[in-house]
Amino acid sequence: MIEFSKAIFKNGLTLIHHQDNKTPYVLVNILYKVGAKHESPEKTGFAHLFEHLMFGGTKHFADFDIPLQEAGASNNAFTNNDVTNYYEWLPAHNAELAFCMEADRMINLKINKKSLDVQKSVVIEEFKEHYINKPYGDVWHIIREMVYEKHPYRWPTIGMSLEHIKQAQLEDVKAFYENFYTPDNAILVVAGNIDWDTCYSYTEKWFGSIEKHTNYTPSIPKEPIQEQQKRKVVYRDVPQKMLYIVFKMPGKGSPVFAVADLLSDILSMGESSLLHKEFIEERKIAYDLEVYLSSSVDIGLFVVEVKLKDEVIPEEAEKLLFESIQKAKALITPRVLDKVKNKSLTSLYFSENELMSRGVGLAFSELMGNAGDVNKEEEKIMSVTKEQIVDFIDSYLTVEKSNVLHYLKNI
Amino acid sequence: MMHPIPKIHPAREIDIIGYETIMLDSGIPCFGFNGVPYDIINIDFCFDSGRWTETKPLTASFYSKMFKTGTEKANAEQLSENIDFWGGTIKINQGYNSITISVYSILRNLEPVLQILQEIFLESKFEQDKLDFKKEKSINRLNINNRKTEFLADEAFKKMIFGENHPYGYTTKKEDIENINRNDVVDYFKNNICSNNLKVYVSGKYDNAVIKMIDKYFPLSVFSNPVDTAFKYQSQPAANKKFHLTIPQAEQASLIIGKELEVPRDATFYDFSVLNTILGGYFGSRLMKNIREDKGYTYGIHSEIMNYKHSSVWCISTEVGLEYIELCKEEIYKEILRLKNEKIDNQELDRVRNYLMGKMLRYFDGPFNTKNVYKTFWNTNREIEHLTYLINSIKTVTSKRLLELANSFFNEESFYEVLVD
Repeated sequence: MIEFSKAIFKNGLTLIHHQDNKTPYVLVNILYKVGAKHESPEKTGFAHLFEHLMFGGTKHFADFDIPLQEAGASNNAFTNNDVTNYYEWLPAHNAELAFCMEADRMINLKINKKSLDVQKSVVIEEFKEHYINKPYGDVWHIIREMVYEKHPYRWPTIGMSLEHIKQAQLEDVKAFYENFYTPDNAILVVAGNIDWDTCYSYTEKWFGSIEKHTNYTPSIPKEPIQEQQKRKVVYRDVPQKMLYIVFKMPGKGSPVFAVADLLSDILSMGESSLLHKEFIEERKIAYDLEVYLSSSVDIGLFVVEVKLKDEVIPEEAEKLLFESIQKAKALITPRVLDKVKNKSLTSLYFSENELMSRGVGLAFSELMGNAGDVNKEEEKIMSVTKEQIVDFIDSYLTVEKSNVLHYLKNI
Repeated sequence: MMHPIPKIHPAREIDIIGYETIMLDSGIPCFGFNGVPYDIINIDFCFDSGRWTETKPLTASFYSKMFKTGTEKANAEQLSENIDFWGGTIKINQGYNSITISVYSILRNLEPVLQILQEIFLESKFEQDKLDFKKEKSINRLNINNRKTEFLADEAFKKMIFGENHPYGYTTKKEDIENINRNDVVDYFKNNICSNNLKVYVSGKYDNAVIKMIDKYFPLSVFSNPVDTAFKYQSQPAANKKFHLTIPQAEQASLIIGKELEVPRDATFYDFSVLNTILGGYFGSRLMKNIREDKGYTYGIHSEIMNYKHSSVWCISTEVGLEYIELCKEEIYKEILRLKNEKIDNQELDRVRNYLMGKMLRYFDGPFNTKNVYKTFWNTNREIEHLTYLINSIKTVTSKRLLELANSFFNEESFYEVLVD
C-alpha cells in the first residue's frame, strides 16, 4: 500500500506527497502533461527537443545542473508520446533546492538561439544513435505511421525525421513553453524522507506565486476504428528478417489493459508460454518471439514481434501466428492464468520497493485520473478472468484489425 | 520578488551499513542484508569463475545459455512453467570473473523455487539439440552485433588492451561458437560451479526459515570439485595503438580512447577516480559540458573506469557524428591537456566532491543496494575498507594531487584509440 496525501493549489498545480523515512533521499518529480502527441504533424520531435532545452538555465540559475550537483543530487528527465517528466533525486537535507529550481524553470526558463542550436545538434546525434545507426532502428517509425491514421501517435517521440528537428525555430520554442509549462498542466510528486508539512510549505513558497496562464491543449484527433488489414513489406540492409503483427487496443486507463497485459505474458513470457513453445520449441521457425503493449494513455498497441529463421517464409509464419492466437483461447487453463498472475504480482512487489517507481507510479495514476489507483494494481491483476481474455482476443486481435510488417533483408 | 535561494548544505557522513554473517551448515560463506517492507527476497549464488576459468573461449557463456534447458525430470518448458507458476525468477549472469545465479521470489513461494534451482544444479542434462539451437541463435546475434559500430569498437578496444588470448580481451568469433560442444559445457559446469568458490548473498526480507532452506537445498556435497581461480593471464597489449575500422552502413562513428590503469587499488586509484569524474564521469563533466553542451557533436560522451578482478581500464567513449570526428578528438585532447596544465579550481572540485558524496548515499539505500556494493567490491578483489579510501579521496584529494595524477596518467603516447565508422 502506497500511502500519500494530495493538494491542489490555487494556480492549478497538483501536489502529491509520499513519505518514506527509510531512505536518505527525497525524490522531486514533476510531470508536465505534454508529449509528442501534442505536436503538429509538421513539427514533430518538439516536446523531446524542448525537454533538452529545459536544462539550459533559468533566470536565477545560469546553469541548471551545477547547483544540483553541488547539493549531491542526480537529475534527469524523459519524454514520451503522452508526457514530459523531470526529476531530482537529492539528499533529504537539500530537498528545498529542487522545489526552488523546478519552480524557476516553470516560469523563468532562459531560451536562446545558441542553446537551441546546440540542442538541435545533440538531438540529431541522439536520433542517429538510436534510430539510424543500428539495424532495425527505423522499425517504430514505420509501424507507427502504418498503424495510426489520424492520432498523433503516428510519430515517435524523437520525431518523424531529422528535418523536423533541424527546422525548429526559436519562436516555436517560446510559444511551446508559454502554452504547456504552466502550473495547472503539471503534477508534482514528492516522495521520500520529507514530511507533509515541510513538503506543502516548500511547494506553497516556491510554486504558489506562479500564475495560471492560458493553456491551450490541441484537440487530439480520434483514431478511426480499423476495419481492414494493413500490410507493408520493407527491405533493409539487416542480417535477419523480422515479422511484426500489431493491433490497436484501448489505453492504460481502460479496464482491459490488465487483461491484455496478462494475455501478452500468456503468449510470450518465458519458455512455457504458448507462442514460445510453438514457434521456437516445436516448429523451430523463430529465434525469438515477444508480445508486448505500448502502454500509452490513448489508443495503444498490442505488438507481436518475431525474429524469423532464414529459411522461413514470412507469410507462412504470419498465418500460423493468427491461428495460434485463436487457439490460445482454448489453452488458458486456471493454472496458466495463475502462473501469469503470480509472476505479475512478484514483479509488482519488487518494483514498488523502489522509491522511484512509487513516485512515478503516483504521478502517472494522477495523470490517468486518480493517484489512489496506484494501489489498485494488485486487484486489477487478480480479477482478470479467462472470459475477459477470450473476449479481448475476439474484439481486438482479429485479422481485419491487424497491421502486418515484414521487415526483410535486402535481396 | 523571489525568495532567497535555499542554502546548499554540505554532504553528510555516509553510514557504511554492514552485513550479517550467516553460518550455513555447509560452511559456504553467506552474507545477509535484511530489511524491506515487502515480503520479497533475492538470493545470489556467486561463483568465482566466469570467463577467467574457461579452458576454451565462450564456454562460460554457453554454460549460462544452457543453464535452464532441462533436467532429468523436466524439460526447458516445464522448468520455466514451474518457476513462473510460483511467480519466481531464476537468472544467470556470466561475468569476466563470476557466474551469478540470482533468485527473486516472494517469501511465501521461496521454497518451491529453491527446489527447482536445486534440481537444475543436480540434474541438468545439457542436451545436444538445445545446444545446437543456442549456437545458431548466438551466430545470429553476432551477425546483428557486427553491424553495430558501438559493439565493434568495444570489442576492438578490449582486444587491443588485453590481447586476443586473454579472457578480458577475446572477441566473439563465429568459429568459436561453432566449436563449442556438449562436453565443453558439462566440463565447465563440473569444474566451476562448486561450493569452494561460492559466496551466497541473501537480501530483502528473510528469517531463520530461509537460511534453513538454503542449507537444505544446497548441501556441501552437491558441488565439491576444486576450481583454480588463481591469477594466470597477463595482458598482451597491441603494438599498434590505433585501430580504425570502416563499415559501409555506419551513419555515426564510435570512438574509444583509453588505457589499462596499472596502479594498485590504493589511495592513488581512488584519487584517480575523482579526476575521472571531473573529466567525464557525470553530466556536468568537462567532456559533456564542452563536447555535448557547448558544441553539440554528440548525444553523450563519458569517461569511466572499468574494474575487473585482475585489472582496471580507463577509457573515454562516445558516439559522434561522422562530420565531427576530428573536431571531437581535438576537444578531447584539449580537455586532457587542460587537466595536465591547469589546477582545478576549488569551486569545481567542491562540486564534484558533493556530487559524489550524494551519489554514494545510494550505495547504502536499502538492502538490495547495500548487497550490490559488497558484491561489486568483492568481485573485483577489494575489501569494503576500500570504501573508506574512496570516501577519503572524495573529501580530501587536492587540486595539486589531481594535477600530478593527470600528468602521470594522461600520457598521450600510452593511449589506445579505436574508431569504427
